[in-house]
Amino acid sequence: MRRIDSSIASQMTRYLVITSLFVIIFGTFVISWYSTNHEKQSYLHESQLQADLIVDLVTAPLAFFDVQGINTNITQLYKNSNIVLAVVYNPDKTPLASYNPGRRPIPKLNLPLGTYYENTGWFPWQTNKLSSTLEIRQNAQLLGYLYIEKKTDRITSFIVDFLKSVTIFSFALLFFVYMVSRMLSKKILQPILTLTEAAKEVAEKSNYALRVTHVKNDEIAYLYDAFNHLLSDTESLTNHLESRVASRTQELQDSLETLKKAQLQLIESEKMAALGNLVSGVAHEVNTPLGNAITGGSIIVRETQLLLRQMNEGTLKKSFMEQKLNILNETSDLLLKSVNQAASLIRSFKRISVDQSVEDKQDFNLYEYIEEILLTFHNKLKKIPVTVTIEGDRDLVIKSYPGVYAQIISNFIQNSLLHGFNDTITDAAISIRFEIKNNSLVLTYTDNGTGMDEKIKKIAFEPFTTTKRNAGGTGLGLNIVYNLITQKLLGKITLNSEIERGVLFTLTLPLEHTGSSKNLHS
Amino acid sequence: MKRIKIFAATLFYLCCTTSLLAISEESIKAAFLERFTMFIQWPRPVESYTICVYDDDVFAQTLQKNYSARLFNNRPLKVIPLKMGTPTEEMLKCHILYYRGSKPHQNEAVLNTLRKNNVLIISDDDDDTKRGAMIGFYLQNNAFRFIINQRNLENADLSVSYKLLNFATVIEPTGGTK
Repeated sequence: MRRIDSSIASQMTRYLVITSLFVIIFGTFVISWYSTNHEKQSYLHESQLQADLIVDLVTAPLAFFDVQGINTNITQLYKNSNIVLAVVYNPDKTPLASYNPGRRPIPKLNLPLGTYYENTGWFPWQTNKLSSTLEIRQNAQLLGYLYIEKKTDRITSFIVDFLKSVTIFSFALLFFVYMVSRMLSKKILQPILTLTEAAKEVAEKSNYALRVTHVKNDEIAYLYDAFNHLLSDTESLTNHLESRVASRTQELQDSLETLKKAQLQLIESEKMAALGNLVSGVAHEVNTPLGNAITGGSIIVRETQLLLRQMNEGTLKKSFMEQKLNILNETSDLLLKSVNQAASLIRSFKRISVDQSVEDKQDFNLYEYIEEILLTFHNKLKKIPVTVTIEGDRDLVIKSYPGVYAQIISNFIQNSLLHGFNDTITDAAISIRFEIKNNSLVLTYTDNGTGMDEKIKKIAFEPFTTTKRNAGGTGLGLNIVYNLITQKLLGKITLNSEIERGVLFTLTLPLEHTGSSKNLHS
Repeated sequence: MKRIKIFAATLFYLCCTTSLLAISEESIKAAFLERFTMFIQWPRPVESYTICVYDDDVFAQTLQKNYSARLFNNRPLKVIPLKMGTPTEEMLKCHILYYRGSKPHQNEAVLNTLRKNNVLIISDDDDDTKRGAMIGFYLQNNAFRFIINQRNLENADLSVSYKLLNFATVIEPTGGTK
């Protein structure tokens, strides 16, 4: 179950509060900057007006040389606690009268005219005092100067009061934002939480019959409708799933059976074709010795009848007798050899044909067995001609399916004869090698024929792959070889080939046990 | 301008460091007359001031002497000493009529004539402000003070600065100031 690290409600509240805090801080800074500046300007303006008023008050006493009157007028400044010093100067800038409750040193009047803050910093709230220096004139006649120095406590207290107010307001606003965000998040998230609970129940209990309801017609309602629709579809799919699976499984099984039957039929067809070839080979191979035997027999019959007739007529001479007996002897010898050859051939054919039809494992000498297989191709190999070499332990006896070996090597040889060797090849050769390696028989079959291109090589073991379909190729030979090796012998086969460089089949076949023919005989 | 400053400084020095009576009364009053012109405005622009001094040759001479080498409120000054019995028509040329001791003939008709001609009447006696004069001097604590009759000033169409009114003793105030 997924664990929620931070709920959306908390995130929403956090973001809103942080944003509000940022706005408050920024706003406070800007407003305090603006307000302080405004307050300073206001205080400055007010001070200017105040200074003008004081100038008005002291102008007439100054004009009529009434120092006492000047003092009387400026002494009234005690009512304004912000003024710390006020000095009236003569036109020659010597002090004439002053209001100086703090008994400060009277400054020399070398300040620029005007009202301004002194010792101000970069921030508007950094200020120390305010000073005003004005000329006292009447009808363009300079009567003297007035210097006023004021405290800026009012600005400081304004800033303090402002910050207090802002702080209280900020906390109130933050609290308000927090409450509003909690309320909003609850209001917005409640339907989503309900949906989440429903989804969790569906996931845990597979309760697809569950439906969620929302009263208001808003975006959440759309979401709920979509969720309900999804559940409805899922429920429908789930209900029909088992029957659909069963139906599909049956279809697949039927297809598999059909395929297996087709495969068996194909294999059977190929086997029958191989047997047909075998029979054809047998007929062809046996035909020659039998012809010789018949010829020999005919000669024996004719010569015997000739001898018998001369013997009956009494005209038989010794020399003639000796001549005919020699003929008979040679012919009998030829006849016997021919018959023996035929018998040998038939024995081999019989064994191979029996091996192909019998599926039991047998102990057999691999070298001799390969020789017997080659014997069935004797005429075809001689016709091209093809030089066949067998390399391997002549005494090696293995326990396996000899018929499978016969079928595999026959297919290789037939492929070499049919596809590999064309008319241009003069030194056609086939090499069969075998050895025992890691308790497996490694058998290699090579020819120096035309080879295969990459395209054919990739699909060589697939069924119905042939380049000579019109010339009688079925395209099943190597596929059957592949199936026999992988399924019957539980081995592996690899193919290396290049155009005009022949083929190399490497078979790796696991063995139950191996031995030598000597051991077998013993 | 520099001379004015020096003069004012001298006056301050005199009034603040020594007894007021130690300097000439005429000099002080002459300076006061100049200061009055700073705070009082005539209906027509004044290019040069004309002060008529009635039957007080000493003051007339002092005034003439003090302002012979410098301007009077930034303008030239002409002092006309008047003998006793001088007809009223002679007084109409003046911007300021000052008298002390013997007073010019004062009936309502003469006063009206002077008012119509915007003559500022200044008397050495503050009681005269109740009899047509607009400004009257008096002595208090060894210092010269003055009373202003605002009504009389207004009747003569002379505007007075609130600064002066605020400093002086005002009788018959009208509430109007410049």
